Amino acid sequence: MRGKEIIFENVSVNFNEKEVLKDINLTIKQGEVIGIMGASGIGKTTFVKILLGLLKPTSGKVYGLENLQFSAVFQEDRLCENFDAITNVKMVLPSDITTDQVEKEFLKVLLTDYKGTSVSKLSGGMKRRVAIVRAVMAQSDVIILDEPLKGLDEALKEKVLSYLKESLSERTVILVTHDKAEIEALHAKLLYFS
Amino acid sequence: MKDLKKHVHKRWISLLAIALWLILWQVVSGVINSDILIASPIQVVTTLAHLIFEKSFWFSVASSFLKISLGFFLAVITGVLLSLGAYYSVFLKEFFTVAMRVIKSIPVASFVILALLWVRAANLSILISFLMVLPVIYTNVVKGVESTNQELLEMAGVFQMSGIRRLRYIYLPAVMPYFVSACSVGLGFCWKSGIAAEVIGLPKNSIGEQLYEAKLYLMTKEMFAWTVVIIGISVIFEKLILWLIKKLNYALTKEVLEK
Repeated sequence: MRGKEIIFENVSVNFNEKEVLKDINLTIKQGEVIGIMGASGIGKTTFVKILLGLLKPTSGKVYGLENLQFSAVFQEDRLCENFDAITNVKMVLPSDITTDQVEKEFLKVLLTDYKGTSVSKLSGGMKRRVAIVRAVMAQSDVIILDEPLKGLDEALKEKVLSYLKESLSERTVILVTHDKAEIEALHAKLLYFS
Repeated sequence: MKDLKKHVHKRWISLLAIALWLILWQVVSGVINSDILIASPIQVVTTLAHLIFEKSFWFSVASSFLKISLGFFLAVITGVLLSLGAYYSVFLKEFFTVAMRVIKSIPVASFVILALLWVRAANLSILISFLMVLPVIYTNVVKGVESTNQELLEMAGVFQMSGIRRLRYIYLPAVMPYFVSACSVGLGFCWKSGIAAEVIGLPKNSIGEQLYEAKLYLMTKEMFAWTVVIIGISVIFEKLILWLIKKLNYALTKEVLEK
């Protein structure tokens, strides 16, 4: 293993005797941008869960995870609904990050009118952008983006993609999507699950 | 503004309902017309007005209040600690759950009589209110902790959130509604059982002793007046505790509370 690489060696995952992932052999290099595509239910989220340490492979080994810090935009927003947008981001950041800094990031994804209310009152698109800013601002070596642009309109998708492009340099990015345009926009290496 | 109007409207309806019950009570006591069987609301207010100028009234109220609230607070602390143990260990959960089921199913009167063998009558209401509140707090807090959103816990793990932050932002908001409801139910229980314990154990200078004496000498007006005092203290105590919990919750989590 070299540097901060992640190595999948003959990784398979079975759920109730159903094979979800079979013999995955893959090396993800530091700073690499990988776009994962494939039909629904093919195992993309299972792959992501292994990366995040939320699931253990049935067989095979994954090397390099223990040395890495992760951040993620999950398929669901996974926000603490009773707290406001700023708190949701600051709760995963070091204490020296100021509210001003978070507000500036929100502006970059055109997020306004979020103050003084819990995120439960925000629209789906606004919540999604809070989740994206949270993952981007969190200190991490690897950022996982599981369908990050879900629920955003075309104009916002473009804005958020350019925000991601600007903010994710030097980090390893794993993007799961159904849209090839997103993979192209982030200049990601395509990994097709079939 | 609309919410405020609705709130004021609801208040008026509550006051009207209370007034109607008081009128009904006055009418029934007028019809029965027996000072031994039932006291009228006016007689109760007059008796109360006399009682509050007696030193023994305040001694009894203070003594019962302190003991019963001590039992309540001890039950809250113990219930929370035991439920945390139950969350982390399946064995402890089963171990405590059996005990809580037993406590819940034993009648208050049996407990009081048994407890008189173990503690002095003066401390009886502390033990009884503690035992009656403990299972309520324990059961609800366990449910609250178990209801914590697993996806948020996974998120916290991925972002390596500290234990304190997980507690503030994930566990406390999940547990708080269960805790508040447990306190609300527990406060009612502790007063009912605490006073029942005092009536049986007859500790000196207690509301229970005053109630018993009023019953012994057929002082119906006093019995009603003391009952009103118990309801009053119980309601004020409940409001105060729930207000404190709300403030504490806000101070701990700075949660955005919807008005």
